[in-house]
Amino acid sequence: MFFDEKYGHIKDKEKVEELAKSILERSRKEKQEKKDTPNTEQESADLTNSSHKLVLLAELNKEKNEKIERLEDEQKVLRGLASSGIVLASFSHDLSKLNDVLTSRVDKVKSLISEKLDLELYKNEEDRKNPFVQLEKMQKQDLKLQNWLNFSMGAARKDKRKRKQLFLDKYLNDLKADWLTILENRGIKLDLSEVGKIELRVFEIDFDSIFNNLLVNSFDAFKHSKENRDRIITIKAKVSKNITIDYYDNGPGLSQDIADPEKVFDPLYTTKRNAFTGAEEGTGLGMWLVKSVTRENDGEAKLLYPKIGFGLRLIFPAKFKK
Amino acid sequence: MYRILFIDEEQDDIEYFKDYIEAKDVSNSFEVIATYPSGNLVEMLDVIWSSHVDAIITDFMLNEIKENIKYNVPYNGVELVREVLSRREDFPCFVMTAFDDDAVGESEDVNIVYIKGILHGTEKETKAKANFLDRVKNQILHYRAKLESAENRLLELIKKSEKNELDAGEEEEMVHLDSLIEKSLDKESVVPKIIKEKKESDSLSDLLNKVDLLTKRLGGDGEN
Repeated sequence: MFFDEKYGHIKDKEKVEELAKSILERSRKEKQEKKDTPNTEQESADLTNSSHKLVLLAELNKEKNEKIERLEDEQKVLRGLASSGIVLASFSHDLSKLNDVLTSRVDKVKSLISEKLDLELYKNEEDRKNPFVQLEKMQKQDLKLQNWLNFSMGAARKDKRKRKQLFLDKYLNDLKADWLTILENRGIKLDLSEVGKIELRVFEIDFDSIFNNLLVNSFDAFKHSKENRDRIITIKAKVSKNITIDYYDNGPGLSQDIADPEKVFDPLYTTKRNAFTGAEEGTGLGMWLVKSVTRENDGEAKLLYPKIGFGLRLIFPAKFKK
Repeated sequence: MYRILFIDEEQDDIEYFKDYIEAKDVSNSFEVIATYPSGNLVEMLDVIWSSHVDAIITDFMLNEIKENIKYNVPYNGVELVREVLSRREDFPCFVMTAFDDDAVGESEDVNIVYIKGILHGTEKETKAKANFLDRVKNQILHYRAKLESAENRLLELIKKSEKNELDAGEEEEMVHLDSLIEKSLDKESVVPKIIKEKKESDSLSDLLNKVDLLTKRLGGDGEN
């Protein structure tokens, strides 16, 4: 039973493949027979017609099989990624304990040391040889760690999975706060000044999928920026007939090497390469997720082609408005 | 004594590197100079040449963190090394990367790419395997030996040339060795000027002869 459930789809596939093969063979045989025995015109026309249909069916089946294979590949990647989310969620208790410790541990060591050790002793030392400066640095690193912990623990929170009213400007400002360390550390400005007061009925986790993926792509793009300009990500949103959300970054934009830019929306299509080997490094899921999550919410994702950088427009029907 | 230049856009990493060298360099034979990457490749190369170092060690992703520098860095460590090597063949260069990726091991530059984790003690202390600093030292020694043998050969050729015993192949070799050493050590050219001058005056008189011929022909045409 278990075997059947687990491998049922493979069995089905095998059956279908057998069927397709037999159809193809039959059509070949029929063609052969047609050559060997001359029929009346009507008979031969019928035969050609039916064998033509069968060949079409076989072709169709082959296409379907390929699609199933692609979907299975996608599912594998998604399962892997989901599992790491599950692990995080199930250990959130342990993680939040660690998180609490991070707030205070360096202060504790500092006060213990300074009871017996005079700060003045190190005033002529290089920073890297001054334990007090090093402790300050650790405290900053702890804060960064804390940010990452909060971020990953928050990612799979239950209430994010409920469809509820989402206030776009508040949502985006919270998102900005979540990413603030990274934004600052990479000198990236996230401009939300043109986000209107818009309420949507969507899953917060869906919007996380959209914007986290877009942000991660922009961060990566800025690393490859050759032009010397400030790094800016702009999100604009307004309501008229529809709800329109525009996302821009002024990085290098999509590579000119991509013959068909729309391909970035295909699952498992990635432009992220290993800089040493040129091997594919991205999961190829980011933009596909952006598109499919948007579609699932009756919206549409369109590439914009700004002169500088990357641009994407999301359009949601106004029914999502409150 | 070995002078090495470390290039990284993050002050923290520069300090980790200095800590690492200090801990590993028991015989105190390394001097570390550190710098942030320049805003363009030409400037960066100037900094490298003018610092007169025996080796450079550069971070790979030079354009990521903007805490200590505010400008864009339009090249990465591998591109920088490629430029350096195109000007000085075999100059000791190393790239450090924080990306702990198997792919690095497959790279064409497998011998010069190191994972930054070694600065924090991930380097295995085995006797069979030389540590990073040993490798830097070995590369420097190899390079110095290469230059030395080039210099010796060049001196040999110069002696021959003074006796007018050079064949065409040797003459070419001499010019090549001369420019190699010239570039590598920022030394004055050691090839005696006589040879270059001789070659130059030869080609000059050749040119003059051709001009003469041309004038004659043009003159002839004019008369017709």
